[in-house]
Amino acid sequence: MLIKNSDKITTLSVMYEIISSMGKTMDWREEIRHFLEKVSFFFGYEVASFLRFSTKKKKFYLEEVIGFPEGKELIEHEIDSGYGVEEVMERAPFIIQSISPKNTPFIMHPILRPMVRSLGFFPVKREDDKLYGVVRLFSFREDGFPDPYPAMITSLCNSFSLILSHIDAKNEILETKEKLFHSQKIEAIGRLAGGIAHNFNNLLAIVMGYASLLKDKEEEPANIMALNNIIYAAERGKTLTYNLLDFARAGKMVKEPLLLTELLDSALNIIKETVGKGIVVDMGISASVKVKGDRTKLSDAFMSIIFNSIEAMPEGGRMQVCLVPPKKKENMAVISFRDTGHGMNKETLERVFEPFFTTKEMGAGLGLTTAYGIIKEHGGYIKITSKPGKGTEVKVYLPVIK
Amino acid sequence: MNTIGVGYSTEHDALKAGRVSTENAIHELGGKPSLFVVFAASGYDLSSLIQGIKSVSKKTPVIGSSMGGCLHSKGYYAGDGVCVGAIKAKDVYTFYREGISKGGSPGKDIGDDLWTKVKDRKGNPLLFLLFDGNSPGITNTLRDIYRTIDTTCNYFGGGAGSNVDNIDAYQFTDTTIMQDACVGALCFFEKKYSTGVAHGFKPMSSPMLVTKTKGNLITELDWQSPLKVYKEIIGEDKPCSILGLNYPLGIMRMRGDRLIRDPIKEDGDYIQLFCGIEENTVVQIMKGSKKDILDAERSAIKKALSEIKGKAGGGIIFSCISRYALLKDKYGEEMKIIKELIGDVPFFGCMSFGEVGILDLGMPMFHNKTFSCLLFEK
Repeated sequence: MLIKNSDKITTLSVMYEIISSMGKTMDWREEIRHFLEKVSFFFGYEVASFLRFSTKKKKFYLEEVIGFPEGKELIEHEIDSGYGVEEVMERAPFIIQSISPKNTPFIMHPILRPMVRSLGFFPVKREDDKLYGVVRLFSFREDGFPDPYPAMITSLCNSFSLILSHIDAKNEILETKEKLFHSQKIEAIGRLAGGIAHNFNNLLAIVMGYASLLKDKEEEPANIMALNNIIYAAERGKTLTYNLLDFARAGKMVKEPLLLTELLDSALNIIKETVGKGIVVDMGISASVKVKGDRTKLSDAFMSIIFNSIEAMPEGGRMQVCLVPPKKKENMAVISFRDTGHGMNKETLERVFEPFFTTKEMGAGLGLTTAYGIIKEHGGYIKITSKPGKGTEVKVYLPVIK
Repeated sequence: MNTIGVGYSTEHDALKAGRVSTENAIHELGGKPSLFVVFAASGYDLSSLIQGIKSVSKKTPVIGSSMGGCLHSKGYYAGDGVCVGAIKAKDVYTFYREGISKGGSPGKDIGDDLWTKVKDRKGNPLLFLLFDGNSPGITNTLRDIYRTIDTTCNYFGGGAGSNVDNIDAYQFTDTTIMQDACVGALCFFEKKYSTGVAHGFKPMSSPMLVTKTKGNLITELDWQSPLKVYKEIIGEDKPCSILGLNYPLGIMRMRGDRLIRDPIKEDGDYIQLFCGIEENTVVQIMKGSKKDILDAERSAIKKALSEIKGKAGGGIIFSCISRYALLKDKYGEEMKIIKELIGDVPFFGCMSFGEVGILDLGMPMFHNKTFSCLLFEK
């Protein structure tokens, strides 16, 4: 198709303007909004939206819409694009001209139905040819997509996908940096705590030794009681230092082949007694998976996690424990502990493994700290996701043995 | 009953002008109005004017603005007079926000307030907006309103002020007088209405790139001094405030139309525009003859008429003040064309400093140099 010189200038100018306006904020949402606004303005579309594609669920979700805020209420909800992903990809760009109000090709809002006369789907593909999503444009005119609009918009969507992948990469680097910083911080705290715990343990042994000696010689009941209190407090101190040593990986471990199902079963059996009314525990741990580890330490770790979940549901709720065996060619089993408790905000989530960090009135702040150290010592790691008011999921990854 | 009735006065006693024009507007409407829209020349004492209007309007809401001039079915007054439009609608919600250039998100606030009302629409919604044309916050406010409301609600309005006389622009309601503000009304009409927006300017230069900007200033055009480039292409060494009337800048769109941006004065080597412009915008210098801009007026009215079966029962006009400066003694032609095309029906309007509307397709914009009309079905 030959394009007139005057049209060519307009075409190039519009392309230049839209492309040069991309990537100014490097914020995913803001970039999408800006792109849709530019396309709407220069090409004259009344409604422009971006449907994000979920590769996991194989569905489109309305991420942003310009020109029709009814969409605001649909955000986060699934919407019907009317077509499957394959169809959109195969027929891309996918244009429908001359839509009659009585014969809209798919479900459309009743206010838009009598107005939209043509529409176009333009995929925004990732470098690996998978979909980021689809730019969907509605025109109130029948000739909403004359040549060379489809080719231009396709090309703009290609440039736009580069910006999205750039934002993705930037976010990934930031996330990795944050994780690295976090694990280095925990590591440093661990070393410090381990050093203190070791020396403190020795001091406590001396305190306990002398207290026992004195107790043996003492006859005055009031003094015996006071010495008992000293010994009891020192014992509690010792338990705390052991926990710290676990976190710092300085504690002794006896590793043996263990069935995860057995470990989880026994941990859950112990805890069953303490689970309050109104808390339902679901178990999906039928898979037979073996790990090499310290029975007591791993049980302690699982119990700490389960206790935390239970304590997050003071008014009752549901806890699910699932064991997922490793996928093919992988060697990590996943034990997921999911609760419907009060959840955590971002700030709490960031500090959850720090020793003595607690949000509970009576908490020592060592439960998850210890679990973190034990799992790490077993070559695994813990991931926690949480939403305030929605609940928490703790995923424990552990290497398996055959 | 009509959808609008118009009253006007050139009486210099503001109290009297307000009262008389409001009485006449109600009389022409022939029933109880739902809203009064007022355009007043800048010389009026607005407190007295509003007092005069309120003595007749009672509890009916009032929105208005001081303008460079008023026009109505019987004539026009540049820099003089008061025009009151009494409007009948099914439902009306008025609003105002002061300090639209002072940060925050005034557009979003307005949009959020109105959203629930538009959502439950009963009739044909129209968002009528009056801005302070001198405020740098207009574009963002309009964009944020649009982000919150939608295209299925039509937009119409304009800016107060003048690049010809540099008047102080005020916006008002029946209770408040303000500057740097947006006042408006969301109206639901039973009858159909339509809008038309056109400017008539044509490109006279090849495309140029706005390489650097600072707010409303173009600080670099095609990597050179913007004023030098602008004046060289036009071939005249007059002040920007004069050249800008005849030679605005146009931003290209795919359908071949241009969004006009008006140079209003020079600042050293820089060009100050009426509205902001983004870096990397491709612009052309535009030129419009008297014939071109009158043809544009015809096309805007015909476009609006075509959507209401060719017959209007009344209308509201926003005609850029610079059209008056360009047409000079031929401004009567502009009025003649309106009457010729819509017939002997009540209409009123103003000489505006920027116009709000949808240029053919897509989203509403704040335009410069356009003739914009809102026509109601007969």
